[in-house]
Amino acid sequence: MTVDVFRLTEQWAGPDGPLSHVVVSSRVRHARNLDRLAFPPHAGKDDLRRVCDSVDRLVRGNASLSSFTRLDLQAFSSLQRTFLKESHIISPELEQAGEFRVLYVDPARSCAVMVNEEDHLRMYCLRAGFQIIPVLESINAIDAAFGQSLHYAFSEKYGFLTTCPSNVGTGMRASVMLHLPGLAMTHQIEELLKNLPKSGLAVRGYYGENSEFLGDFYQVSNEVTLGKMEDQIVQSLQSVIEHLVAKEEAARNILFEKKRWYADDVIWRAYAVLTHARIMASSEAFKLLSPIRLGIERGYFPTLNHHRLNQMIVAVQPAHLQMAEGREISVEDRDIARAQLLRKAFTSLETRQ
Amino acid sequence: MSFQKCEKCDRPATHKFTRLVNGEVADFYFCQEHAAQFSPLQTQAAQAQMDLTQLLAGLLKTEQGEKPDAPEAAPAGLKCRTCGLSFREYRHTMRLGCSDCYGSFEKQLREDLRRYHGTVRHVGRQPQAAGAEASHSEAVEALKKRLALAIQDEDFELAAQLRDQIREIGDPRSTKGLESSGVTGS
Repeated sequence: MTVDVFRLTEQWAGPDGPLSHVVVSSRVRHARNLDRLAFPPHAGKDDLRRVCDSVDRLVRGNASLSSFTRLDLQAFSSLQRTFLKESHIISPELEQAGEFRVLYVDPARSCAVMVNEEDHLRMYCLRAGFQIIPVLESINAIDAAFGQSLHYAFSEKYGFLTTCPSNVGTGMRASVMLHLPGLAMTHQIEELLKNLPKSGLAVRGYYGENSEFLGDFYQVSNEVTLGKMEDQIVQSLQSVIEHLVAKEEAARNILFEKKRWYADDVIWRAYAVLTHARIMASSEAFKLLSPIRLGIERGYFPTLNHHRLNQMIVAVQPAHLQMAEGREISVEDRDIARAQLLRKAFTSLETRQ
Repeated sequence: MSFQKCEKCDRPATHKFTRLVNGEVADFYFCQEHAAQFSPLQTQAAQAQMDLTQLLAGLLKTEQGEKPDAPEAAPAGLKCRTCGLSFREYRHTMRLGCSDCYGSFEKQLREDLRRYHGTVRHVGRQPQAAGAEASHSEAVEALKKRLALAIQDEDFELAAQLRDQIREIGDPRSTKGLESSGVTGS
């Protein structure tokens, strides 16, 4: 029964969503705690168990939540947990597991509730492409279902009370994963992203907090959670993203119209390495798949689409490679397996030169 | 993290970076100067967070009795009345122990909240409204209650916001405003 979760395709990497040439995925999460119980980092077993029990009871008795699968993270190997983290199904915090760390995930793997993460409940909805408002609506519906039966820790003044005061208030983090190779190749990216913190937004890399900006992927999310309405926060994020998408499109136009040889060279050079390399580290795979993703929109690879490429990026991560092999393998062997997987995918690919 | 030294010099590390090295996730620790060399953009993004860390370092000093004149200084030995978490421990981990910590450390936390959010007052969704379908008049009543609280706190910016919201949803024909205010359930 638990095997399913390692077979299904993540919804966010599923069929292409709106503006998928620039926006990889949209995600909103709410942090909630239950009243009268210690927050997870300081909670004893009894309190953690009580949170689990309350959530279990609620999910069993609620028709709209009964299709969710329950995964006890302690029952998984660390490789399996890393796999789930690489798929963006669980957070790095939940990857550490421990007793009473549970994940509820919907059949489409689009919405999930993490139990006893940094907060008692971290519920999120994640979808492909630019869909931040539908995603907010979906997660609000789940929040409402939980809020009906559970007594949330809430104060009139400070809103939803969270373990870290940086999340208090709405307890909401809305984030959008962007692919901005055009802005990177035209050297505009640093200047643009520099100004985001001033508008209450944070920029992170592919792996979230403090991670490197790999393969021109950037996660933009709200930093402020208190003193603004959820809709307000999401709308201002939406308008910043729209602005960035327009800038990225303009940069791509310049690249392909005025610097065609340069764009061609970067894309075909990446293709050449992907079809011939025998050893490849994760970071190199990110670097090479970025120009390929750029080429998709311009018709370089007629049979490749964005979601297939998103899936490739997930599939070449260390835990995914090892799960595909069915065993733990060394870093050196992983680099060989990664090169092999990509070579196979790209040599059979139709191209338009 | 506070005990890490910079990898380039002996100063305490203030920045942590996660990088992929040979397909493995590796952590690097740097001081401000070497962090800026390592990744200028990320260092800048972390600056807001750094400001807070510096504020906290200052507060810790006052707790150790160096300069007790900062207005938000926490009394030595301040603990949450419910879970017993010391304010000092919170400063180390930035994680509170329970929902009552917000009351126990209210005076001190307000400063953190201002730093993080620029304000100290919630205006978003409410749990009871998120759960049950709140009637229109209940929604207006809830907003009026919060307006009174805001005026009492002399938070006039918020008061103005709430007043506009009440005006917007006050018209029973305008349900759009009510929905977008997050006051009703979905």
